[in-house]
Amino acid sequence: MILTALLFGAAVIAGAGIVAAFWNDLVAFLKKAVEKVRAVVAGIVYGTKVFIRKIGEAFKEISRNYSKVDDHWQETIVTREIPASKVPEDILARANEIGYGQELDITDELEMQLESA
Amino acid sequence: MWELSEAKYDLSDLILDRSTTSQLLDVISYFQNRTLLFETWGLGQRFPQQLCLAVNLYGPPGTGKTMAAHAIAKAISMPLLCVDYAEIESKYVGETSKNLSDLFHTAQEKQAVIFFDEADALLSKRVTNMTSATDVSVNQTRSVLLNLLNSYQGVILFATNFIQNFDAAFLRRIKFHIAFHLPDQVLRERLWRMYIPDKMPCQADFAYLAAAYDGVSGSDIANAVFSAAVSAAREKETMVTQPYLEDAIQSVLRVKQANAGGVTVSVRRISEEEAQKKIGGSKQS
Repeated sequence: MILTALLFGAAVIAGAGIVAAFWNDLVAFLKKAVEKVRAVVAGIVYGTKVFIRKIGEAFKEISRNYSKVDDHWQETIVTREIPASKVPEDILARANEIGYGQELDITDELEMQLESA
Repeated sequence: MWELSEAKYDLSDLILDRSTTSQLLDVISYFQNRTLLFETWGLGQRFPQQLCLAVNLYGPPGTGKTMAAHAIAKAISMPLLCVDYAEIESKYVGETSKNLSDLFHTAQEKQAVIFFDEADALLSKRVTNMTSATDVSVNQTRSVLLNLLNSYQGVILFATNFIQNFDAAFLRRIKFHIAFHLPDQVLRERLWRMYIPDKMPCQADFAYLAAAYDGVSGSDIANAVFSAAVSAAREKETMVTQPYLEDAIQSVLRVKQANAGGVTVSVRRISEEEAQKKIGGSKQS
């Protein structure tokens, strides 16, 4: 799981082209997602896991955000669609490989990108 | 209480990706070939509880779910009984369940397709830790609906933007789950072309509009065409030109983004055990 502090504290992921653009765009989306969760659940957002799923011709980025409200845990799922052209080739290939409707967990990869940023 | 309506659209009105179209055709085939499938080919021996045809149409707003519901009804030559959850729900205990039973009875009698739009309001997860009369009422409604689905012998269509909220028991009872997606570039171009009426003078590069504006639904494109036409008429133009269409679609996108940030959100409560598994002992931020 990516801690909220890491997500908001990280610098821009370096590099050019589609790969860096994908990760930076994903981070921007996740930050927006956490803000949305804060607005919806009014609790502490502990962290986020991030997945990608093929849907038809496009892809869905799915952030699963974990928060605690009045001693109860909640999972808030925030999703958006992105075109295949914006997904780096290696992730595209793996997402295609796992099959339709399945989610590819890319949390660890994003965490590594954030830690090295 | 329940009003029947004729289906307004047919399959030729829909511009969808191949996978969604194919699944819609499967639903229609299932209905039209029931005798062949269950009697001649003997599927009835292996799958005895298939009297009800329940279909869930899910995906982002504006992607054609409601049109598809009409198209299914038209293809199987049945009228529609469109239901809003507000019409079902009652503040009186037990009345909601009674309304549901009445609805199913009417649909069966009139040989109509029941269509629940925004179905997540009705099919969302049952409350596991009941603490109020409302919780009890919600669970009672869900149980009644499950029983009705078990015994119903007609066609029922659900449409939702939030399939994540569905109770697993409903998911199991619904035979077809059909995903609707935002259109890709090729479909967007077809949508632009389709929504411009034949009689409307128009000068625009549809290929460019399709390529430049992604993340829009069929409904967004329809709204943009409408707004562009109104603006061009106001300016006393003789035709609707590219700038009008671009201004209109940009405006639609701005509203959409302001409203939702381009995302969909759903919330579910999870157990301590599941949470610990997910967060894996990470520290609080």
